Amino acid sequence: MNERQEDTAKPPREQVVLFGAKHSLCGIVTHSATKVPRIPIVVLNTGIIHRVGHHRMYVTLARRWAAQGHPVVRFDFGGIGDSPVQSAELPPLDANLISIGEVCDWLESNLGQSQFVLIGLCSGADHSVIYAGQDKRVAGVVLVDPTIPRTFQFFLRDTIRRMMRPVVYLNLLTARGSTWARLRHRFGGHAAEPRDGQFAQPQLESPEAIAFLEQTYQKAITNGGEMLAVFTGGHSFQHNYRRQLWDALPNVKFGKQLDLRYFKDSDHTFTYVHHRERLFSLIDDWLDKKFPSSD
Amino acid sequence: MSPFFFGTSKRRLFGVYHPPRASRGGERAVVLCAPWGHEYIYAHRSMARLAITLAEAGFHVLRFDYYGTGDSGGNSTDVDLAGCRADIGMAIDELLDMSGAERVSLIGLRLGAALAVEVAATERGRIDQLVLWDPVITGPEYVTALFKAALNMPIGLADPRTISAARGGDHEICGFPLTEVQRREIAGIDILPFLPKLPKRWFALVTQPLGSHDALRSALGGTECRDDPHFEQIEDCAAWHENWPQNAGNVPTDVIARIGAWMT
Repeated sequence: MNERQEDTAKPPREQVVLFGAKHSLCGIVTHSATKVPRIPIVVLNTGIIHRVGHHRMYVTLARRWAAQGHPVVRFDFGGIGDSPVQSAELPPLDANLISIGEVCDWLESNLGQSQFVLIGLCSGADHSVIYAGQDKRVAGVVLVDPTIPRTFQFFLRDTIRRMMRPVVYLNLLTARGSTWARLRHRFGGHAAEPRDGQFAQPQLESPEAIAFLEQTYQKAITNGGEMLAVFTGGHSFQHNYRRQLWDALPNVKFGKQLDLRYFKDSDHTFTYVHHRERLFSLIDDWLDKKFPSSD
Repeated sequence: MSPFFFGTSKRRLFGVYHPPRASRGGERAVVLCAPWGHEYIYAHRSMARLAITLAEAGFHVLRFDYYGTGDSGGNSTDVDLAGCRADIGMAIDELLDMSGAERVSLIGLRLGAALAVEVAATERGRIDQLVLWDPVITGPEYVTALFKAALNMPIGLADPRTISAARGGDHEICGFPLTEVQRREIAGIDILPFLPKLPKRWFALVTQPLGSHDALRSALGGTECRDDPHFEQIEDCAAWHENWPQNAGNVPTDVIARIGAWMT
């Protein structure tokens, strides 16, 4: 079923729920369309985009999965979308992890289900794997472009990729580009300092960061969670080949629980419909394989 | 703040009601009309902030998603302008019922402003005031802007904005499908003929200059009141446009403050 075919399907049953101790985490529960519900899925925010997701992707996904039998929750972390900040004292990550737990508690209390799948893109993926390490109820995580350390092979590929671009040589010959700008700033007196990259990129190559991530991923795996990790070519400043997760976190024993994919031609948020359809099909297949229907 | 579904079983709409947080000595109500597509996604944060600001100033506020957008029922390809205007009508009914107010004001952003203009012109008896925030004035200009935005997405990929004829021959605008029928309908927008039919008190607040602003000024002719002008430009960021990562998540606080001041 693709995004264009949904209009013939029966509308899903959707419910607004205010989750959390303060009843202020705004979420939508899309109820399963089958008599025997399959494992519930919790969809986490991507950055500051509210619960509908980029291109309304999470609404489409929630309805698709509900039609396949999964109850789905989409909700906003505190300070995002329609949820007010949950704690003035806690750092956002800590507050958000509590919020995920509160949503899982609601699912357990109201739907009688004690296992869940978390899915997130970018920061949502990071939240998913960190939470999975501290709650054994998380039976699976779908991590789309999680933040991982860069590796020797990453830098090698990145350098080769840059050297293949004609603009590098054009800039060299015409005294343009960031290298020349840095030289001008350093030796040219009043020249402005060039911006360092697109934005403040995460630097996860320190031993401390790698140790934290290895511990995080190992806990999620040891807890028994299945893991589908999907990387795109859209964050080529952070990852640029399929096996980078394995190379970046060499001490994690992923075993057969990790299914690793790399969509080189997709951008970070799956802007194009056919890229989203490919992602959705991949996740459908993974869910069917790891959490089959009991009907 | 109360999120809820309203409308009919065939046309379920998602809305968020913000009750007034101050007394204004009489019930006053505002319906916010959102933009479309990627502009809706980027503007959500600003629309929520505007709703909070107005509620703190004593207004009942309802923001909602048109059918086929946001959390409302339907698919992106179900969106049509007549349906969106009917959705605004349903939102007005809902807010009048919830608030006890006799009339509502409309605040529309981008396509939401163009929709609000037609609703205000046809339902004058129910509309108190109207704010057009960076309004879409003419359809062709807007469609051109949409395709330009799609072409300039900083995602480093080739441009498949037009889907092959075998798959419907439609378009993709920054992640949102746009059918050829929708494109043609949007291209037919022209708010200028509706201006004489608007409620007495309305104004357009713009952050980005557009070619059509000259036509809007001309259409206003000699009707401008110096103390309460219909057209105002303000220096602030565009709530509906993200130039990632420079302005990701920015909220145009000056615009919101100006709308709040004009409304009160």
